[in-house]
Amino acid sequence: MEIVLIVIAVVLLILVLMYNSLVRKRNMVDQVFASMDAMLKKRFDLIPNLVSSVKEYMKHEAGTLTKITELRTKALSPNISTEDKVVVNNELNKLLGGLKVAFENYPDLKASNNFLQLQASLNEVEEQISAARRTYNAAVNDNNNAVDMFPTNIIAGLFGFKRRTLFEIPESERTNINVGNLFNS
Amino acid sequence: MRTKEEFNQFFQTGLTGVIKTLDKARRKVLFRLFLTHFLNLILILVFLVFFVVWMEKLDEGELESGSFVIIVIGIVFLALIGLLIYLYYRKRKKYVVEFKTNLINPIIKFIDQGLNYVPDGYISSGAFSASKIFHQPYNRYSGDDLVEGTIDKTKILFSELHVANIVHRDKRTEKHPVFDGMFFIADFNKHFKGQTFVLPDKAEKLFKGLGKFFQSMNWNYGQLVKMENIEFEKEFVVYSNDQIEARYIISLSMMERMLALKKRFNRPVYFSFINSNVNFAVALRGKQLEPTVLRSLDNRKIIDSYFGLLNDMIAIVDELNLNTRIWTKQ
Repeated sequence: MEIVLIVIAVVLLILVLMYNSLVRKRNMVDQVFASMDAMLKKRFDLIPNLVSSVKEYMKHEAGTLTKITELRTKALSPNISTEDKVVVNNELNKLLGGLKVAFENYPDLKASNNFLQLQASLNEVEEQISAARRTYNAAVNDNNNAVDMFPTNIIAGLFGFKRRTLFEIPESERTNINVGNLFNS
Repeated sequence: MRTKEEFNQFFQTGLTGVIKTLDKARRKVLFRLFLTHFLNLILILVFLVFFVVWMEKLDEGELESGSFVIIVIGIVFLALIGLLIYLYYRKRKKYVVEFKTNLINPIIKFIDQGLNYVPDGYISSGAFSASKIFHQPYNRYSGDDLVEGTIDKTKILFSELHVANIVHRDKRTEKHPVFDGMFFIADFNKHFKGQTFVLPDKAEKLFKGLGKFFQSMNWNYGQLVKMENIEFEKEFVVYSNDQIEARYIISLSMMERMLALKKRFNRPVYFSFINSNVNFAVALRGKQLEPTVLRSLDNRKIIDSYFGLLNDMIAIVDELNLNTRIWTKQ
């Protein structure tokens, strides 16, 4: 009788531990997502400054700058869904990338201290966003492994733990930047 | 950082004369070494002869008992031997100083003018402990060959260190080495607040998949951070108290750079990122940047090895891209 009780206790303990580890993994995903959101917000906060400081120099890029401002407003609107946010962000990535290449054509701009400071901040935030994205993917990977693998998949099925989707890494981060190609395009 | 070809040229124009002079000094030291051994041997023999004669005379009853006298004479002989050894080491030390100021210093200045060399200086034990790379207790701490200065925008310092713990147990003395090798500290080019460690991956090599399990239980360093570069994960294990910051510091290109550094030294390497510094330790065998007494200094291989080590240490700044200041930290 005692043995049966002990076995039941041990099984229960294992189940509780597995459940807790699943919860921990899910929370980790949410927590990292929140940090990433905070960093994206940081980048949005930099955009008005960036636009106002380069506007007078970059007359030819006026269209791009307006588009960037619009995207920022869209991304900061309160009722945007997570998926939309990702889409808006990817678009913003592209535009900012193009803008950075264009900076090279404006020597006056590159001599401005204010601009250099801004550019450094932007680089920093982008590297932080990239770090957060990698962290998010690692956390999602951990979570998905636990949800899919035996024996935690049983608990996951019972309590409705779900797989999460990985963040797409932008092409520009996956391949090394080829400086030569920048000038060809 | 300099190339081998540049060093060849410098060697021809700037070092051959120095090496000739130094090798003459070395030969004098070597002669003194033989002389010291020879004189000591004679001293010991004389004492032994004296002792045997003394004992015989004592047996024959020609002398009153007087072990006091023989002890005094023994002490005088020992003192003489000690003095000879001391004089040899004094001469050797003078040679070492000459070697470091006339050979090592120019090599460092050749690699980078902005660097300062302090032959008997070393990284403080406070800085060593603050790196938090090695957690073992230690009571022996020494080092030499401190190099410090600024390369472009990055402040660096490095030196050789020998750190160990001596334990006395049952009348036996045990030496537990903590770290022997070169220790390097530089100002890191990104701002960060937490603590991140990149250490040689011993567990994963030993236990393969199970290694991950053991690694995740290391409380000394913080949480395990899994990286996406497979080759990097095979060589290193990363711990940090901030998952995102660890990846901010160790970007995808940084992983490649760290791997390249590991390959170049081909010895265990350790990194820690603490207090806005990067600490780097490479474990090496024996003493570095020391002159030879028995072997000729007029030997290209030996000189190249001095240059190689110094150049490799200073090149860490470029290898880790520390002069790229495109972030807010200038």
